[in-house]
Amino acid sequence: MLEGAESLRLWGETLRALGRSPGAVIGGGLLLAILATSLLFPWFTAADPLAQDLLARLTPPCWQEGGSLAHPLGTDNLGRDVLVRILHGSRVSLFVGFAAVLVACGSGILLGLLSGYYGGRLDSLIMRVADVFMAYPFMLLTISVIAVLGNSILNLILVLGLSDWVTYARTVRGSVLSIKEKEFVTAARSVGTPNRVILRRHIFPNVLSPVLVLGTVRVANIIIWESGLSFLGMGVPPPMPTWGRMLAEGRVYITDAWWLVTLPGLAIMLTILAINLLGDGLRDALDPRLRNIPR
Amino acid sequence: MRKTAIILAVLWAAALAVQPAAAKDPDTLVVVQEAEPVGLDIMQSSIQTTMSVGYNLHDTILKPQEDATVKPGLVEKWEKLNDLTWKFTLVKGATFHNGEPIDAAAVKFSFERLMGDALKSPHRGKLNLFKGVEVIDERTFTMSTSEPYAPGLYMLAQYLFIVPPKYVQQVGDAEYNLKPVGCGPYRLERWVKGQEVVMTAYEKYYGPKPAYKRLIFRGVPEEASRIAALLTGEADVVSGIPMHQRPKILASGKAYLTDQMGSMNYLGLNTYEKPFNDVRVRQAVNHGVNRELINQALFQGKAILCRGPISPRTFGADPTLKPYPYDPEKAKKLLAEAGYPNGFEARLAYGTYMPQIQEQAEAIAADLGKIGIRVKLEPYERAVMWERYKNRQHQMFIYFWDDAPEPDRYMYSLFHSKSRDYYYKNETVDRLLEKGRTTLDPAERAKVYHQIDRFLYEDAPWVYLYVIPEVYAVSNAVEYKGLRDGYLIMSTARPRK
Repeated sequence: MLEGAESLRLWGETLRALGRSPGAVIGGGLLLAILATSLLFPWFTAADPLAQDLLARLTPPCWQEGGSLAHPLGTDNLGRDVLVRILHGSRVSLFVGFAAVLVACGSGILLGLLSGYYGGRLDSLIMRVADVFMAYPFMLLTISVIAVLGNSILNLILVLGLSDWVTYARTVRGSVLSIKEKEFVTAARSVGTPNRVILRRHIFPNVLSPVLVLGTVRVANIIIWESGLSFLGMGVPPPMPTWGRMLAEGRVYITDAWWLVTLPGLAIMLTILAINLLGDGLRDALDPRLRNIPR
Repeated sequence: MRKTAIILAVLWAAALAVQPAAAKDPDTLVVVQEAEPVGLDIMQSSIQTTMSVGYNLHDTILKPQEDATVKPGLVEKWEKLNDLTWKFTLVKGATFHNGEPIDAAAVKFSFERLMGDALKSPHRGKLNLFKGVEVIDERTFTMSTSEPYAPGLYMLAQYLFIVPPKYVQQVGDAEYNLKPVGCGPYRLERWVKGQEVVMTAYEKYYGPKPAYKRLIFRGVPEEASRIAALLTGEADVVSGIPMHQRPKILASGKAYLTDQMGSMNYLGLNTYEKPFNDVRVRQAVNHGVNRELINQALFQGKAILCRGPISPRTFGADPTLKPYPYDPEKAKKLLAEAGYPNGFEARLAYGTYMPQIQEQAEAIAADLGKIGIRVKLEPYERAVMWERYKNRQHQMFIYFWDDAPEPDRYMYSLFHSKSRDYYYKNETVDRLLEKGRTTLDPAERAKVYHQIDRFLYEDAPWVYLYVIPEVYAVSNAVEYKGLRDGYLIMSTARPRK
């Protein structure tokens, strides 16, 4: 059980450990920059990502012949500014990514705690349902659900989140199984602490760190899936710009206008890279065996 | 030992995969379309890419022409007995690929198969004014209609395919769809699903022999791959060439372009429900779409703006009509008069399989936004789009038809309430369409269609968009003229000297 000052001390150590890993620093910095850009860009540009200028379509980026500073990264097939669309697309991608992970995390942790702590029939039931989810191809599941429900941001978040709960639930259940046998849990139980209090105050904080690492890595996955679904036309409804849809729409023009696919592709790549670097660093920092500090 | 075998197998598979295309046989013609056929029985499908394959295996009794007239085919001569009846005489000695003779009984069998309930042919609606085939002798038969039917011969030329009675009865419809025996210039050699349909020239074909001994159809969904196949010499004829790729193909000096069926795009409106039940709103939308700009930007100015529902390239289009001018102010005024001074929200559905559709839909939605109509885009997959269309679930929808030279072929299908009353129904239009198909004098008939065109122009159940002239790209080594109203008839292709 971690309380007050002790908990703070451990978090501080984790952060320090993170600071020692160059990958985590680069990833974290990059991610922070990306998040800041995506939150703050409306202060610098009020341009509409949907504003079309059909006669200026397929204008190349400014450093290329025919480009202009009015559209630094060029325009797409309907004359919309690519830079503005990438900026707006970042909000969609990051929002969907983090929100879906929250949904997945929330449901996964809850089910994992119940399953691991209570065991028995409830455990079997939850784990068998998890097996069914795992046996079902993820992409197929999301596509069929979206095809039935229709595509909206909310549906997308729910579908991506709810089809990804299994990983969390299994991780949490594993941790709970070992933690619930620890002395402090037994002690709490012996003085008559109710189960929900034990779960909330004693077990939950102790399963958080693996979930945190997992969540970081899954954000990257979810962003890629969102792009994939948008690429297939099953993601966020048009005309809202998303990186995946920009790829899909630009694909047709790949031989005439390289910037339509390359730049959003680059945006996806950088974001995923940042998140993965941070995730790796976090895993090392949270693992006491790798952290090399006495406990 | 086992490991070595596995490694060898993997290497062998890899070698197969990267094996360069064998040097092309000069007697072989390779056609690459967007999709492989769904079946080979031409009676069972109306998908263009599928029918283009089927048309080389099968023949109709007459050959349709671009001006909606017909030329002799399996029928060498015909005469009109009265306004309702034609008498036809078949060519002598024609046979199916399996040797069965092509006689009047085969024509009767084919017609009955096409119209029968068992086959559920998508083509039967096009011939439903014909009552049947009367066999007179081995080579002569008559066909009559229930009322005078002006485009009758043309419709027979397009859709009355002749199939061998004995073989069909022997193998059944499902098997025939895989292994058809037709009477066309080519016979089926093999169909490797997912790869290719291989045909060889039929030695005993009754008509002019095809120049190429072997004909191969492939389906390649990626347009870039299709074009690459053409430019590297792997393919001779390629379909599905978007506008922006055309200059590149011409500039390569390796291929040229020839006509394909046009794609007449339109934006349908649900006239049964608010707000599009008001003609002023429908006219406002027509004034609110800047078709000229869309044409310039997306189709390099090569599309033909539509005036009314009848394509400017079809018989019977009223030449005095002008396309609705782009006039957002007038559109807003019309909307205000109709009680929508602040516009409204509307859904716009379209099928994601249509070429360049996403950019068209977004451009149209942006235009409508300027007159106050806030559009929610609804992209649908082909089957879902169709289901929702039939179930009257669309509010605004983009669909297309090829702009055939014969107006009855699409006007009746799309506007007559007995054919489709999903989103629009009008007694005047019904009456005029019936008059149009039963008026035999061409000048009179043209007047009827002018009336229909003008009436629908004003009543505006659609937003009239544009006709996109589609093309095939053909290798410079091949001489081939595509048909604006037809399929890929490869027996007319010749090596270029």
